[in-house]
Amino acid sequence: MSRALAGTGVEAPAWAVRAALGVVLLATAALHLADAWGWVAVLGALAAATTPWVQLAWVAMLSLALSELSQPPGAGSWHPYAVLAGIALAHVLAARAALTPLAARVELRVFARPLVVAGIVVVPCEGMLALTLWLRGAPHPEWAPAAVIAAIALLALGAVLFARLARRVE
Amino acid sequence: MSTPRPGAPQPRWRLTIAQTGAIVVGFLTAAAGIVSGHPDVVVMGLPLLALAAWAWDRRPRAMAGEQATDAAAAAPVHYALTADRAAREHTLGYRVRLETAPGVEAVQLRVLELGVRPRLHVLAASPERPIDVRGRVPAPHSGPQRIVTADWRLVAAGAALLTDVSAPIGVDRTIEPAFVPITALPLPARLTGLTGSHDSSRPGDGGDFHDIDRFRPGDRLRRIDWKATARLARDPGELYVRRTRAQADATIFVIVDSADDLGESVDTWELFDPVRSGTTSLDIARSAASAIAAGYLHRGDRVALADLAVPGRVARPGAGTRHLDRVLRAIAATQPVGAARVTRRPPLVTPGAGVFLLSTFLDDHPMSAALQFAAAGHRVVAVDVLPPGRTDELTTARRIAHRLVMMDRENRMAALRRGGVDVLVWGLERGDPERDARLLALARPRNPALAAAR
Repeated sequence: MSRALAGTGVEAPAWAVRAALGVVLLATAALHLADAWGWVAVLGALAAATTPWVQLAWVAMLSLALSELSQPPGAGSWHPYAVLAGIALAHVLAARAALTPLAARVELRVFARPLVVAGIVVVPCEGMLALTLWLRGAPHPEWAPAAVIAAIALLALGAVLFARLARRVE
Repeated sequence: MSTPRPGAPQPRWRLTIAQTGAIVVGFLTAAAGIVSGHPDVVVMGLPLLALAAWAWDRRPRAMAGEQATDAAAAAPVHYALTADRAAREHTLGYRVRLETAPGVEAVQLRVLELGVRPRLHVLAASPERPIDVRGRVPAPHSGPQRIVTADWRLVAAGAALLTDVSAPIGVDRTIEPAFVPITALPLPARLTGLTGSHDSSRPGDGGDFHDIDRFRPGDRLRRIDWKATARLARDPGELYVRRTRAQADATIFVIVDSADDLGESVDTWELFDPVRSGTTSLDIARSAASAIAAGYLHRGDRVALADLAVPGRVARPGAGTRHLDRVLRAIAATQPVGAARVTRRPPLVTPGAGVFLLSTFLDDHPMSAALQFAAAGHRVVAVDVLPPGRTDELTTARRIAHRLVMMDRENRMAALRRGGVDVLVWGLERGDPERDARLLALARPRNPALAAAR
């Protein structure tokens, strides 16, 4: 275990980052234990926390996202919103955990900027998710293809606009 | 602040699995949502794709000024690694300062203390707030050593980009050995020179009483002993003078055997670990050589320094304060050279000089050198600098092997004693009454005949 150096900010051991990744993925997977995707996510979460170099965290994220396929439509449940936020948070943690040796110490300030960016990304996505869930649960099923097309367009537009606007902000 | 040398390989940016993972998972999720007609699943992939887009847009600048892509050389990092000049309370302070280019989010810094104690830190970086960390490293050993080595990797764009490990930088320091003042020192069989602090066998000025002899041309009139003349003179005009001993100085060769450096922990003999090893044989040898050289030079004698394992003389015989500084610096700079560079030829020693041979005597070469010196008429003191070994961490087989090696060494020490070599064990303790008593015994003339021969 590496000891602290003087002059660094508040630090946490690297295993705490892995543990946080495991907790986030497991907590999100626990919302979907009723189907197979949830269990795949659990296995991926355990592997991601113990052996991050095998990169199974993104398999867990994929299975968490796909687990929404089996969920009933409706904007009332908080589960889809938690899954979306959990995926973004897990990506931030997994990106660090994959690079950091277990014996290292991680300055917590390292996470500040990625978490702020993830927050900026997640908030509008949650709104879009609420919209698409409402559309999917609406009494007019013919709206569903239109919602898919709208989501794709938003996806592309959101990615491009975010990159451009964020650069201007800086 | 320093920049990498022009010829040094420049670290290159690499896309990490995080970027690939985000894009792949994002597109797969979106595709699954489109195929299954679930717009909410499509949105699930949006954060990952947006984060990947942000990371790509926020790539740091590469060395050529363009935004970094895969395999682009990273912009140089201005660095400084400094350390204290001298140890304080057996520790040395050091400081690492890194100024990174814009766009770099974090630095994975690895600091290797004494070559064996790694410290790994992931530190936030920005051009406005350079990384500036400090630490203290123990300095358990004397001699030249690499105190700290540091290397790093740069992280950017939410860990989507990572550089190769930089070329390591290090700081070297020479730690001065612990100094043990000693007063009683043995003299060689023959003294040299016309001045000095020791009485020689020759009659002359300045020393103790030698004898009473007939007045000869050249004798000073004030040396005539009138009482002896009245008592001894048989013929008129016959005079007797009191003769005193001439003074001379001693020439001492301090020969250090730097072929090996073995610590108290026998477990570290195969693979040296400066933290676990405890006090090593070269620590003791440097301390002993410094004490011996300083002791003789303070008395006005001439001291030379040689290395049994390195061809050539390290310091020629000399006297005085400046020579003492030179010898002490050379002793502090002694470092293990390994058995491969051991020369089979002992250094040339001035006739009549005393020889202190500091060695672990774990091989035959120092023993045969000491016996050769003794056979040539030098007074030789073999200083045993092997620290008492700790064998509690050894396996049974290795413990038996250690015992055999030690028995072999005992045979060599016995051969040295039989060959007329004085053996002095230099212990770990700074104040060692046993060592002082042994030095006192060695400082006494071994027999009256030898004393008269001086």
